[in-house]
Amino acid sequence: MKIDTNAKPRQQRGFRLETLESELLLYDPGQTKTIYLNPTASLIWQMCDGKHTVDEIIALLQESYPDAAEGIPRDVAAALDQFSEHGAIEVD
Amino acid sequence: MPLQNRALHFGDTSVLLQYAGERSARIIEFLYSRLARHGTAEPRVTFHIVPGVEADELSLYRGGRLLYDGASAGQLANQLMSDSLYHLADKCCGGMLIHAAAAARGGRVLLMPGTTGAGKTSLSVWLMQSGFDYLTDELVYIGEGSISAQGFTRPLNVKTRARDAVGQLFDFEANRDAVLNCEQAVLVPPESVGSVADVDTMPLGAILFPRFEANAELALRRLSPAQTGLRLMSCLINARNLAGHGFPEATRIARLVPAHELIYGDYEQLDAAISELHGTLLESAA
Repeated sequence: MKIDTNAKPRQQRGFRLETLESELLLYDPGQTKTIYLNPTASLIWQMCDGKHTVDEIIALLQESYPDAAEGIPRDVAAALDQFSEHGAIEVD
Repeated sequence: MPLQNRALHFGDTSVLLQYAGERSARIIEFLYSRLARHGTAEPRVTFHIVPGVEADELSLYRGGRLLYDGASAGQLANQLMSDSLYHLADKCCGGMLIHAAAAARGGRVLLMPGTTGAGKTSLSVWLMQSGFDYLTDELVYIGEGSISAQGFTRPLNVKTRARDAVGQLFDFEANRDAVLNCEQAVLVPPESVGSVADVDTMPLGAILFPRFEANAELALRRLSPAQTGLRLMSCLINARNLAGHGFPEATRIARLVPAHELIYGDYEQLDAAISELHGTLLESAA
């Protein structure tokens, strides 16, 4: 993961958001680019509120989905890398 | 030589054609006879086709700009088609213009969005020979808030690189008097291939994102609404003219219309997919 696990990722402003069933589409009008988020990435996106650290996001998800706990750090890292790559989050 | 006028209306825009002579009239008829002649939009651009300097030559202008000058009806037709499409799309703001083929069956439209090279024209030919009515192989308009699709019903534009593949379905030699040839493509009147829809606007029934890959195994996969919305956005031509760049409209359609992705490597594989596609169209009509 390229983001420090103590960092508090926050959704970048200006993205348009559409929820379609359990998935999300983000649209960046500046870059005219659409980003697809699967159900897992959608959950992680919603937790990027600038209040939770990456570690806290992982812990909260592991608490909610104990059966999938082992793979959650990897999923969070992949999702945050995806958001970061598209400029969809900012980190203080 | 007197000029004749022919307005082309599509979506919420129009262009005007002014032409002189029988040869020009035949080209206009060949390209645009299936499009609406009447509409409320004022033409934004005017094309002229007039006899050239030499006998047999024609000149094509947009405004005062010369686009083509020569003896090839096919070359002129191809130039006029692509330029008129561009200018119809350029100012369209009343709905989405989607780079897509479309065919109809049972009063429902199968929308097939795809960028150049996705195999839209080839699949259109196959669908026509499998009982679908042709709407377009290039451009579809969906008005804001509407669930109906309007096809830009033009001659099938079989790119030179796809000619051999399409030749498995359509006998170019037997139809040589019906088609127009140019460097980039063969323009095929859809009536030479199969049935053309008798109305150009119908309710959407299903969406299919085709992808031809030589030697690929057949794959027909249902897409989620978000996956559909993502793909629709990539085929949206006039996003810059629309509120929110068309994102709200693309996702609206993605929520309402069932969609599949189709990967195929040859036409014979498509027989296996057709019953599921029919089923999806029937499901949407229920």
